[in-house]
Amino acid sequence: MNGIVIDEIRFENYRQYGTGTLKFPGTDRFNLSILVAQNGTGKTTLLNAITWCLYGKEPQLTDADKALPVLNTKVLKETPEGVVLDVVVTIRVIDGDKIIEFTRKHSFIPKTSADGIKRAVPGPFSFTVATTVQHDFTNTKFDTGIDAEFLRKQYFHDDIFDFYFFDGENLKLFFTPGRENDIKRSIYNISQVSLLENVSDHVRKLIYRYTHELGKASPDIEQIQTEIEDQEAAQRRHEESRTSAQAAIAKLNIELNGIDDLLAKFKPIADLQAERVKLEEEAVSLRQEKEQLASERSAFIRRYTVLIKLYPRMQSILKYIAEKEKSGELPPAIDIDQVRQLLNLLDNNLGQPCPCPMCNHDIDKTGRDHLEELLAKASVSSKTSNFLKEIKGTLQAAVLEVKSYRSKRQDFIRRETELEEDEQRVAKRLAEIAKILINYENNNDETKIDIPQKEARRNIIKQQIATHYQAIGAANNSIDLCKQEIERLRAKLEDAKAKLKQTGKTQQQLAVVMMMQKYYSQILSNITGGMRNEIEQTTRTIFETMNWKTQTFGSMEIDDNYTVSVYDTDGLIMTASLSATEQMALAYAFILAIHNASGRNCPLVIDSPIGRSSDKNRESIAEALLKISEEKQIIMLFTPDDFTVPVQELYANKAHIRTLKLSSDERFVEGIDGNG
Amino acid sequence: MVMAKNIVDYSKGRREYLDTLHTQGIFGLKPSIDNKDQALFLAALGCDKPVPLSSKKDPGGWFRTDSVTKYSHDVAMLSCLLLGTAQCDEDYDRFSQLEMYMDYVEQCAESGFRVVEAKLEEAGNDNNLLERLMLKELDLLYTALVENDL
Amino acid sequence: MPISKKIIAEIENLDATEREKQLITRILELEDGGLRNYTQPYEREIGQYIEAEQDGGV
Repeated sequence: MNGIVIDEIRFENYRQYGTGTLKFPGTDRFNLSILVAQNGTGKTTLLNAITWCLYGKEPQLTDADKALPVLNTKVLKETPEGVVLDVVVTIRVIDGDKIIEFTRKHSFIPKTSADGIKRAVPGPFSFTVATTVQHDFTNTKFDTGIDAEFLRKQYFHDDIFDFYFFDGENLKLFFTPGRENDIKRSIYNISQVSLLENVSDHVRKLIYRYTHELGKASPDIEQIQTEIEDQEAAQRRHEESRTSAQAAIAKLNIELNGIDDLLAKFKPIADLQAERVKLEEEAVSLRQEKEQLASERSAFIRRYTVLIKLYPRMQSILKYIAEKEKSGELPPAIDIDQVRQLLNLLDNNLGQPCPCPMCNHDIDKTGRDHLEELLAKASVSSKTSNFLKEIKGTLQAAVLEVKSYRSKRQDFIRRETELEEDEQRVAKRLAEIAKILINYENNNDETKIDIPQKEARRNIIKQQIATHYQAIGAANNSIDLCKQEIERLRAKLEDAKAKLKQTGKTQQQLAVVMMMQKYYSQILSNITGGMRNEIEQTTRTIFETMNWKTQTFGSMEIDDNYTVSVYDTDGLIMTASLSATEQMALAYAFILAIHNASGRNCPLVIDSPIGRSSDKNRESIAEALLKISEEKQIIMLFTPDDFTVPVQELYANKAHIRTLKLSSDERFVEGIDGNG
Repeated sequence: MVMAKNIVDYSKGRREYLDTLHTQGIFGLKPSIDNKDQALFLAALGCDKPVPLSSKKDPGGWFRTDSVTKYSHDVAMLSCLLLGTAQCDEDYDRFSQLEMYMDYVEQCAESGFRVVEAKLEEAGNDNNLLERLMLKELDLLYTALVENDL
Repeated sequence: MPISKKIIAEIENLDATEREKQLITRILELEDGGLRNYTQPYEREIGQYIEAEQDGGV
């Protein structure tokens, strides 16, 4: 099996794990390790141990200041004052042929304070990473400080640790509104899109630097480059404001959908709400049709301005062509230019005969008279004649097209009128519905829904969304203008550079970094382009395997901000209506899809992986996780209550299972190797 | 002998003006429409009173003539502006030369820009009103130039 | 950390010479290794690339 695996975790004086080693061997087919322990034994502490080692923090603690120290309390009690004690957690990871050990060490000195309580006074701490290639243990590389932090980030980036080490109970909170930016950024970090963005940024800076260096030899280049940078900065600002507006719309839509769902479920007005939703969809469709019609109308105006204004000229040319055709001059039977040349030659020969180019006989006076007669008949050159022949077809077709002006014009008027009537009908009915709802009195004691208040809020949201769309439109226009200007300036820059006769090192360096930028942009575009669709499809596939329901879920959508929406078979959004376990399944599906898309196969460590619910989804999730462990290491921490008989039966002989319990003095976890 | 003409130009400032027309979507004009088609439209608008370009031109020009000569449709439409004013055989000979009719296109388009400026002001910068007024004008022109010619 | 398989596949598919692909990969590795604040290693790689191109070696 491919992938990064946690081979073992070693503890020294760490909380109730004391000093010992936990190994995660897996089995032949599945890389699944299960630890079963009562609440309070150390399940959550194991999760904290991992994050403490990697990040120096224990996020599962509700309040770090009021928690026991990381130093094992029995060891603290038994160690004389002043003796330095180290708390160490080492995570050993195997990545292909490399063994990487992440070690965090924090020293403490036991000291009794004035209140008579012996406490652990913190001393220095360190974080190191040791990398060894298997079969070559003589050559271990040690990294400390910033270098170690960087290495850690390559494997388990800070921003994404809760995609790898998490409490299953908290999964249902995964899709809390406002998390979208975190999720998107995290995905970008995991899949190294951030890396590509950083490299592009770095390369861009090099391009600026080299161009400015070149610019010192040519002030034009310097100035143009500055203008390009200004435009790019402006474009980024517009893109940011567009992204903000999009995020705001996404958030507002969530609230709007919530209100719509509420109204849809309230029986007395459910029909009205359904009618309204249909009408709003129709309004959108009419708006789109109106935009399309406007575009067609503009094109019609441009085309017919040309045709009608040029009509007299086209007719004049066609009349001329017809006359020439009637007189036999079109198509040209002879080459007038050649005839003229021959006559000139005869004139220059001062009456001496010249051979005819066709038959080679000398041209006599009769021949010459004939040539002059031909010239008199042919009033335009062959070149012009051929030209007229070439354009004749187009002009005839254009003249014919002009004649259809009236009928096309009528058609536009008809379509505009119909659209106008439809829009008015829809708007009128929507206004009627809004009026009914805003004045609705809910006499139903049970529901206590304030319909007018919801309706008022709905109107506000709609207005805000419209405003944001306008902002997006304006931003898009500005972005287009910036792009045009940048393109123009780049062309200008190329011209200026071409003029520059310098062929030194900087030119070469610049050419290379520009080549690199082109490729990085391409890679970035390809990866981000496919990634969202890939994540959407994979999320859907995994979610379906984790669900026992087969008739409820219709489709799933992940938007540009990586917000996940689930729809029922009728197309209604139902993300917020999922049960807690279904939300958990969705969160798992999403996490695993992200892992998949990232191109990295990192392990999962999950506390309470299938929660406390008792519905059929638990078993589906448990089965799905087992299947996944064929390809990816999963470490699960169960309580005995969660580790029900069906789950035990499912995992028997497939997972490496061990039970942990506390020692009789409750200071140490028993069940790990070498603990004491 | 007429000099070879590779580029169709416009006066300095016209590129920027076109950009603003694109932004506002005036007459549905946008960057994705070929420059030669935009030029033809403007030239048609201004063909009644062609105006010479100013001595200063926007560097880089508007479009290349070889983008026109590839397609007989473009050649026909652009050339008929000048060719349609020919009075005699010699005119036809002269006006069918690319350099001659492309110069004329430049001048008609220059006039066309001024026509757009005036119409836009008349419509209070409202493209919807501008297009409605233009349609009315086309109705009248159609009657005068096409129906009365039949 | 090795560059992800996806990115490696994209690099392979580029319409670029082998040397260009190696340079692209190497710079990514340098960036990944945390040297983004130091330009000298990048310039060294770019310099080596330019020399190799000039020598016309395979």
